[in-house]
Amino acid sequence: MVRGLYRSLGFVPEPAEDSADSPVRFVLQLEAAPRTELFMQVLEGSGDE
Amino acid sequence: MSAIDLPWLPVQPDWASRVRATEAAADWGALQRLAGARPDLPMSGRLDRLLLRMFPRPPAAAGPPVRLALLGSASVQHLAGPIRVAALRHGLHVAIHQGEYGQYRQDLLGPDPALAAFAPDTVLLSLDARHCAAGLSPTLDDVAAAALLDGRLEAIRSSWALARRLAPGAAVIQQTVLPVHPTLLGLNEQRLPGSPAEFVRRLNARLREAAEQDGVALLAIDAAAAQAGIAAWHDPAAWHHAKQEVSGRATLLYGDLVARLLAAARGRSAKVLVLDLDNTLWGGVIGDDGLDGIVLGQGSATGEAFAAVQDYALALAQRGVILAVCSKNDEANAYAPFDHHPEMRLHRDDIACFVANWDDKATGLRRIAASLNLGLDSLVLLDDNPAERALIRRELPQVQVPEIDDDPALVPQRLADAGYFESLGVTADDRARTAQYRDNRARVALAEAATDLPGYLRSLEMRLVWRRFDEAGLLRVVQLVNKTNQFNLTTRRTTVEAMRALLADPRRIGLQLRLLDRFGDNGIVVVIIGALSADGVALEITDWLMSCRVLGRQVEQATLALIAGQARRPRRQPARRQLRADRQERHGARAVSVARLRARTRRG
Repeated sequence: MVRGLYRSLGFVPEPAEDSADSPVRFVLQLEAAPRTELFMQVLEGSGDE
Repeated sequence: MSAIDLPWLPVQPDWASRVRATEAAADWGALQRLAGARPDLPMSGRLDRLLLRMFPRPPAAAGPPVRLALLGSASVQHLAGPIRVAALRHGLHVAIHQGEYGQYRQDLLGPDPALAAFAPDTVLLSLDARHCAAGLSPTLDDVAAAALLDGRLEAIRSSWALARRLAPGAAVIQQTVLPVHPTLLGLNEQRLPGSPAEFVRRLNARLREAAEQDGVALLAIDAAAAQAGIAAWHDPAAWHHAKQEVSGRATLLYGDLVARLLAAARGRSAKVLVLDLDNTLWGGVIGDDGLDGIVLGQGSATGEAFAAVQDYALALAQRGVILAVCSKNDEANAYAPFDHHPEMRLHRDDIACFVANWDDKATGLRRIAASLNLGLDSLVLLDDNPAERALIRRELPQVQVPEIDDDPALVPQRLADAGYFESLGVTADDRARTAQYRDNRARVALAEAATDLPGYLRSLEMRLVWRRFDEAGLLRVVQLVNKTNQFNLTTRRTTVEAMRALLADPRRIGLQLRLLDRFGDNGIVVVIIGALSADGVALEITDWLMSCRVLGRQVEQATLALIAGQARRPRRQPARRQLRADRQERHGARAVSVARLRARTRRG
């Protein structure tokens, strides 16, 4: 399930033949990250909130 | 029954035969269940020998391995076995380095090569009362006694510093001093400055302040002794024979207290108190006796005792324990006292998950765990019915189920004695937790009413507020990192000390994200830990932890966008890191273009 989540974000497993037993390593070229319209504000906190 | 005998644990009449069955196969889970029985000293010793033989190294099935250095001014050898067995009860495998009698200071100052090679992740200092009060005389005046107290406290604090120098990143636990000295003056002992009994009392008070300032956890056995009686904790004959400060009988509780701290530091304390209703929160059966027939509140001692049980549950909720209800009842009957009984302390809003039906309780507890997105090992069931307790222990051994007396007056202390919810501190998120789960119910209602996902997400009016790791949020970050649940691809754990070290490392990134929406504050729901690769072009994300409460609300996409933005930024330099600034500038100038994920998400 968690691997599906990473894939949905654009990460690809390395090596490509990912299996349940393989080491977990996912790579994402940041430029290739899917663009999603976000329905929220992302803000840097001041430390007071 | 006194807490010294661990009365919240069930007696297992077939324990010996189960031990023999377990000896045939090295099964960590079976061994852990054996440790869940109420032990006596021979049982504890037998289990410890079995544990050492079957699992000299931590098995994969155990929780995070613990390396504990047990250093003392008196004999500590008799404490190791009960600590191992109690830790097993909490699912932890503990390797222990035992210091020699009276050698703690030399071991730390040396340092002892064997101790250094052991590389403890936790150092427990066990100092005895006679050692601490050495040099005291009834003839001392106020000034001399105060100077002695200051000096003794400073010596202990310097031991903490030495322990941290010996094992950077290790947690330090300081045992408080047992009040073993007989009084000299009597009930007004504080008027004799040179009284050893008074000295120990003052030293313990000062230790509490110092531990708070220095980030040291206390093993407050003085408080435990105040509850069970010093005679149960300290046997003068054992002291003179074997220099044992903690009596043999008390070692079982001592081990459990240590194990609670080890478990709490690794985020493994229970989170949810699941309450039965009839004859647990009130006297009588609501379905039979009706609203006017149940016994609760003023008018009878029994009614007041049940009200006190509710008061205690409410106080636990106010400090961060989640409350749930699991009752075999018609739902309408079960809710009636919460909504209409004037003496009820608990109300609907205090309960994060309410399950009342005629299913078996194991099904109800599974539903509660699923509803709260927590593991079954986060649950504690309070139930007056011995048959239900036995059923849950058999069906769901991960759930902790205390033995309780028929008399409700004894229940709050029993729950406290069991220490299921041991915590090393209280975070703001802890205090708000019940409200967060309550708000979740409103979000679910809104989601059910919405006709499209974007519309629903927009209507939540979400704000994701991020900050780099800071001192104020460290405890919550460690909680999130350490609480094991689904979505866990690694078993790496951390400590407050390790996270503090991360704050000072400019190559590493630690982000904490808080989600707010129209229904309230969800608290810190995401933790990201990453490090710049050696060539400066990639960000290695080692930890990506996300509370499942917020999955499916675009937090994951927003988090990734934030990580990408952070990865592309030049690293900021703490002023004290100027020497490395040039190198870091180079790293910062090369835009990070790759995020490598060697990570996990986690339900928190």
